[in-house]
Amino acid sequence: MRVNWTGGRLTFRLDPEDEITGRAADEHPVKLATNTCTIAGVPDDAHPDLFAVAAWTVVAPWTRRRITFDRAVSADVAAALHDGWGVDAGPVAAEPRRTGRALAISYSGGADSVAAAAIYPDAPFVHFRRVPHPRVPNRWPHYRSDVLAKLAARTGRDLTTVSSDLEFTLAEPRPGYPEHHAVAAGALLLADRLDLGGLAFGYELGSRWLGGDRYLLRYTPDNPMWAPHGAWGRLFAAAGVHIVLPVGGVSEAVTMRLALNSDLKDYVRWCLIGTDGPCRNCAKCLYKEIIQAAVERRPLDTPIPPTSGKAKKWLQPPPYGGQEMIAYGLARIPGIEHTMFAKALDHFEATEESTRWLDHCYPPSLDEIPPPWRDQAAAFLTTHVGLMTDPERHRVESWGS
Amino acid sequence: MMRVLVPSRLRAKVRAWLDSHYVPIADHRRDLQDAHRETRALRDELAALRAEVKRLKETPPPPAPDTCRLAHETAQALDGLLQNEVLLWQAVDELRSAGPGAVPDRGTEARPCA
Ligand SMILES: [Zn+2]
Repeated sequence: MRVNWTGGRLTFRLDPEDEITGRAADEHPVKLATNTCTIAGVPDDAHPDLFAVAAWTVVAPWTRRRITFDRAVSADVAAALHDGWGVDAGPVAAEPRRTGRALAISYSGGADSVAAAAIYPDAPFVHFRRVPHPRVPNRWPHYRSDVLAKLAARTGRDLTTVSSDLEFTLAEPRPGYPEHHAVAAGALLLADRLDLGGLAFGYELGSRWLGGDRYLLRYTPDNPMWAPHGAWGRLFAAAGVHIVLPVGGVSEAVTMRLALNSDLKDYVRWCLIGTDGPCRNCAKCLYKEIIQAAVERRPLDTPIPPTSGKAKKWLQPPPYGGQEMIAYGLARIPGIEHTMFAKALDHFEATEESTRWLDHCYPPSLDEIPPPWRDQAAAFLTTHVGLMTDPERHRVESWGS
Repeated sequence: MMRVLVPSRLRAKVRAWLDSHYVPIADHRRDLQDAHRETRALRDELAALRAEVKRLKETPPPPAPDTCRLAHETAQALDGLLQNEVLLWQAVDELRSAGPGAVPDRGTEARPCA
């Protein structure tokens, strides 16, 4: 792979061994759509390691053996690429980037990143906004990134919105981040300007420790995407921007509760479709409604008919990502046995007692937060959430086994 | 005031003619009611039609089935083109980096008798 930056415009070319169909860090096969993308409004004099890591968040799935950058990187970044992916990176000549002092929040507007924002009320936001790609037809116009950007602007936080078409480099399964970390590409290029030493993501317990999302569905202390000692964690650290997961130890029930109790509750939006509010009709809205109903201890309120395919995933026997939250919901939503989820009750023996661990914070997640930002998160989560007991910790550590 | 005297035979004829031409009052009333009902129904139908016209004017016409298919196929074809472009550059770069000796000498192939 050879990458070239012109300002914020990235162009990349495949080496002979690279292929159109690649694999992301979560082992998901991904197909390349096109080899250019743009990240708008970023400085063109950022440290070369920042350009390198930003490029890697886009091209990693399609790179097999080596990557050649258009400007020399530090030996630290080259080593992180080699150790993490077995990829030879060069040229190597730059001094490493000094870790910055500030922490910014990669803010999506969803409940998880709002919860992260609640923990650090003074941290600035960097918001990634999808814009159309000039060369790829946009078959997803219902994705309302403009609405999300407006909501982010109304939070009153110090906000930098980065517009990018980088999701359109991915043809299949559909436009999206080639790697989950591509959401940070803009923040990385802004890291010198914002003096960033850390970037906080809203990834929660399921994603960090339970192998959720598109991942393994079992306890994952060495999660390559989010563990500080994993490939991505080490690469970001090498560029002086540590990955910080302030809500990495709490479930989506907790992030939902924290978000709904926060100053930013009016701007929370996990649905990518609705304009005046969540659409209430998409699969994600249904999933979040289960969590919200459980947190608010009220009956399920959804316009989705029981026969809809959107509930299908949750009616299958486990395992699947987000399964712990379905169990949590089934145990707490009044009248759940009269909803489309009646059948799902057969697959779970969920009680409030058996799902209470999901109301508390997994302590090792606090140890993973770099020292400059650890105490603030630990104090907040100890006060507002509470730490898991040893038996509760065991629930995390035996997940999926 | 003048009174016109009509011969009784004629009067009888006229009455017979009138009787045959005018329906009884009860029938007449029923006819009127029917007409009323029909008018009301027509009015409702007209209102519904007007609403339909308004709705059709406001919503864009559904795309013809061909439009959908063509848009879909064009987008898919473009995906293929963009991917081919990437692969072409990959091949070009491979040849370039291998040096001129690696390029097959098509000139000689074209002139086997030279
Ligand atoms: Zn929705």
